[in-house]
Amino acid sequence: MNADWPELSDLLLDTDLDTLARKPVSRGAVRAVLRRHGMRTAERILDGIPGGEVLDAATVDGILVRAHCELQRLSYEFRNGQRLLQLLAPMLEVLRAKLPQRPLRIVDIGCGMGFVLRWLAAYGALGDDVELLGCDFNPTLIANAEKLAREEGLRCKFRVANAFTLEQQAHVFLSTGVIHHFRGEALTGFFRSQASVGAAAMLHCDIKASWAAPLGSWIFHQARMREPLARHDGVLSAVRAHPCEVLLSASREGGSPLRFALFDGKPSLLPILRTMNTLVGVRAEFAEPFRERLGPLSARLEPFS
Amino acid sequence: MTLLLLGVLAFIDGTLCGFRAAAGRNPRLFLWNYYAASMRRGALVSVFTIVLFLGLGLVLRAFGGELVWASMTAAAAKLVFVYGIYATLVVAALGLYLSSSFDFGVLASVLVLGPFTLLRPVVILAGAAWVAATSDTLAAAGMAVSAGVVMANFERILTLGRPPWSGLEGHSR
Ligand SMILES: C[S@@+](CC[C@H](N)C(=O)[O-])C[C@H]1O[C@@H](n2cnc3c(N)ncnc32)[C@H](O)[C@@H]1O
Repeated sequence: MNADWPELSDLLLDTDLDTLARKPVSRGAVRAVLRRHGMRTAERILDGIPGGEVLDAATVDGILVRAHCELQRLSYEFRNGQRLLQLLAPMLEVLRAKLPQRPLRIVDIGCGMGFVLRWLAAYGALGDDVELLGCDFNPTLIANAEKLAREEGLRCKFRVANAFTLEQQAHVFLSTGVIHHFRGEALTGFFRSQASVGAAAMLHCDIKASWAAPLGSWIFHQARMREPLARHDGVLSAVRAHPCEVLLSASREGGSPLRFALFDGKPSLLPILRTMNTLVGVRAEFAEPFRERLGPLSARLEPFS
Repeated sequence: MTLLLLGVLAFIDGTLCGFRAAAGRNPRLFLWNYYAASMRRGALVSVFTIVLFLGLGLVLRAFGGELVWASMTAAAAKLVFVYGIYATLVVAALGLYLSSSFDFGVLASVLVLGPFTLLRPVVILAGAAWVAATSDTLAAAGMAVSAGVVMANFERILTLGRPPWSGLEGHSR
């Protein structure tokens, strides 16, 4: 495995990023990409997907939905809701003190089935002046997120949207497990699109790149997941996790005028102690107040620049 | 006492298998009742399994006499030793996960709960194989191996005949 390998989930779903319409995906075309990279396990998973030459959209959706269901279990175990909340709560305190607009809107980009937003709505106690909106370009995942929020009476909404052409204004953009999907110019563009709609802050949490990440990810995906695609892409995600320098340079280039720093970005002797890190972006005038509100956790936040 | 301890270990393991059989298969947030039902099922099936093996042991004793019974209890003692170490670590990590701060909770998961779930079938089967290889009688060896095979597949047994997923839309299986 290497960082240039594409995730199978990204190949099975082809979305026109302008219209968000779904394009048919040919099994042969996916196989050709997998062959080119020598991705034999992924090829076996592709062969196991029932149907003909053009992949059946409902079958692919089924796989993605099940994979996200299993991913939610891992997110729960790794306390990703709480992980974001420990940064989001002080960020909201700063924004409340400095910005007149209400409600404060938080948008989760690439929210999948919306686990983090639903968790924040259920347990985050963020306040009535906060609006939670999840975006993903996969309509089936969004339909599930909406249904789950409705069934459990959670105050959050979901929309089908492309991360690169955001129309939603937001005070805070956040994401979990999404940024490793984008590389090079796409990564810079990801931050640019949020900065261009006037974000006051960003919190992007993802697997922390380290020598131990692929092994740890393999252990957890073998132990906790059953869906072959989830197992495959989960380990590949850890291989594709961006090193700190890449995240910082892409965010500073695309996300200007915001200032950026990594939370838990410091290389540690034992990477198992910190399995994920969060890229924090803020308007320059909020950087110091945020650090102050963070209290003892600020020791884990590198300087903004 | 040995048999009671082995029974308790199987009961705890079966109940945790009940949790794992349900985990990652329902995307809702408020899952207390859902998990409780699956853990109850795990506990019940483990009690049934314990009774079944105890019955089998008593039948073998009736046919083979005290020598066979002694070799079976000796085998059970070895199983308690191997599985006891594993279970103590897992229960301690679970306690840490449930009761502690964010960082220690995640650490308990990363260091023990995840890797030990992966190792569980290996520990069960290797323990059973070691006990079988060092047993005095065929009855004790057979009991150790068959109990090992049943427990290694316990999660699978619990999901037999049940719809694996719940609460999902737009998925076909
Ligand atoms: C690994 S999943 C993470 C899902 C969710 N954040 C979580 O933690 O469970 C990545 C998500 O990003 C979404 N995604 C990828 N590219 C996207 C884009 N250009 N616009 C919107 N969503 C995108 C995918 O549909 C997928 O749901």
